[in-house]
Amino acid sequence: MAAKPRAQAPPRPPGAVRRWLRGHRQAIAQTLRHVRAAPLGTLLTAAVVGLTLALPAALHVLVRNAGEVSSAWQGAVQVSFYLEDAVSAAEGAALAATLKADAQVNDTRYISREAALAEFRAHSGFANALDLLDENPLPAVIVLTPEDDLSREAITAVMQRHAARPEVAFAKLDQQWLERLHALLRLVNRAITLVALGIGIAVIIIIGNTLRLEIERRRDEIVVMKLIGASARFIQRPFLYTGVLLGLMGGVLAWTLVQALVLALTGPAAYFASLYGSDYALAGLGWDASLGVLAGGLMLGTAGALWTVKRHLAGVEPRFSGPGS
Amino acid sequence: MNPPLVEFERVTHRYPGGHDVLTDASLRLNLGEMAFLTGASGAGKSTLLKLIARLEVANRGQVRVNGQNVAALAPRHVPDYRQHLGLIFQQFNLLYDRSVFDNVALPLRIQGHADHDIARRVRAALDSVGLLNKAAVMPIRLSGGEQQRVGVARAVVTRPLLILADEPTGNLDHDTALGVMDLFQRYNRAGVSLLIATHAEELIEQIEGYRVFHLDGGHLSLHPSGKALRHGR
Ligand SMILES: Nc1ncnc2c1ncn2[C@@H]1O[C@H](COP(=O)(O)OP(=O)(O)OP(=O)(O)O)[C@@H](O)[C@H]1O
Ligand SMILES: [Mg+2]
Repeated sequence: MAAKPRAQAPPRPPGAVRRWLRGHRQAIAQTLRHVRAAPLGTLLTAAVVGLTLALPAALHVLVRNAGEVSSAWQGAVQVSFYLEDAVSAAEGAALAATLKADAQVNDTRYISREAALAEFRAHSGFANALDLLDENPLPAVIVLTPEDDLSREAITAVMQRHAARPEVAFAKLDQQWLERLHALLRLVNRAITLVALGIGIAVIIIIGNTLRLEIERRRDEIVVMKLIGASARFIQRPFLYTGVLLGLMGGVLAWTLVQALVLALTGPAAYFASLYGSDYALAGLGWDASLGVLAGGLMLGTAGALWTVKRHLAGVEPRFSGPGS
Repeated sequence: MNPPLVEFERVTHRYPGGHDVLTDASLRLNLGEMAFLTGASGAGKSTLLKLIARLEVANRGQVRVNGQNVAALAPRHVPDYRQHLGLIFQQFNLLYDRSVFDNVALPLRIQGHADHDIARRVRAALDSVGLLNKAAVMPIRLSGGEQQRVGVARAVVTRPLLILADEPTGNLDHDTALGVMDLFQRYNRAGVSLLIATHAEELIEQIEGYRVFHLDGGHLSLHPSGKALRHGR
């Protein structure tokens, strides 16, 4: 550094850490000044950011509930063992009792060929068509209900274990639709990731643009600051904090919006569940997803600020012509 | 004799596409000296001050402040350098979103001083311009003369090496302008160095005992202030 202060000027540089903290405190004060100067604009930007972030958050809640509902139904999964025609009713009933002895099996029910036909006649609406047949086309069935807490893999293992018995013609797991649902949920999850990516970019652009306008509006002030010796960092900080604040406010807003939506739907959802004899309660954003929404807002705000602020502040310079020009 | 604080050594400067604003101009301002810079509109007074503040860089020649060639300063050291200057502007350049106190405190905050230190110095600076009772007021509610005094307080509050004033009385009436000039003289008696650009020669004629640099056609000439200024040319 060239110019030293005069001898009678005693400003001792304060401790580096204290000075650093002070700088940030001042930047926050300045950020609040920005907000106070344009509270509506700040709120509107935060609202746009919040609505934008709410979309992937709401989708996440949807998938989460679909996943939980379907896993609640998993307990209702049953395995059907279709028996060979040669197996007598007594043998079938005995087999049902044997299967029930399996530790992973909750209950079994033997349905004889005759009972199956009667059931089909009663429920299918094809009674007349059946009369045309010479003999009963239906096999005897053992319907097996696994223990409640079994995973899908475990249930499949139970099925395969007993399907190998000679009395069993073939076995079938009644959960194909569940497999499809899970595949669908995986797809939606992938879609959410993509949507979140696009939305992240949108939020960065929204916040970046807001800061660009703010810098434009404060051009004169920035020039004055530079004239009295403010470093680029000193001038940047309040704008960076404004970006962080906008992102955080957007995150809080998105969180509030989604939780309010869940709250509003809790009553109807509980009623709907009760119609199916379920006491399922709608799940909101878990703590991890909540943290994700807030941290996402924070990070996107920071990214938007970093992306714009330095670039645009560099352009606000008292006019300058270099040597030789 | 005092060592030179500001030295122009055969400085030539022109803006892109323009004519030479300064041609082989040399100047010495001593430490602790107060001097005036005069010249017609467009003569290059502001340009000369900008060269000192490193808002412009001379095409040829050297501008030295405290022995340092300011053109050689790395851009990242320019803010530090400017913190040793006090700049006063014709349009005051105050920030209108904060109080008089906060305006004057700004350079100290930029330098990272502690709050109690800032409060003490701001009060002293405001006291010296007679505006201590307006500390909490927003600058928009002040008269032009009062606003310029806030600008002066902001420039002196850091106890700068050198005060550069560009047309500081340009927006003030005669009596108010004399008041500001009186302030400058008081600071100078306390040891502050000042370079004051103005085309208000009628003001300088009323102040005896300072040097006047006159800019004309890119060249500098030296005159005494006071009544002799009129008779000298
Ligand atoms: N940024 C710039 N780019 C190009 N030309 C400029 C620039 N600034 C000033 N000039 C020109 O340089 C010359 C000197 O301008 P300067 O502002 O230094 O004059 P001045 O003596 O301060 O005038 P005034 O009394 O009107 O303030 C003028 O001809 C002006 O048009
Ligand atoms: Mg000028």
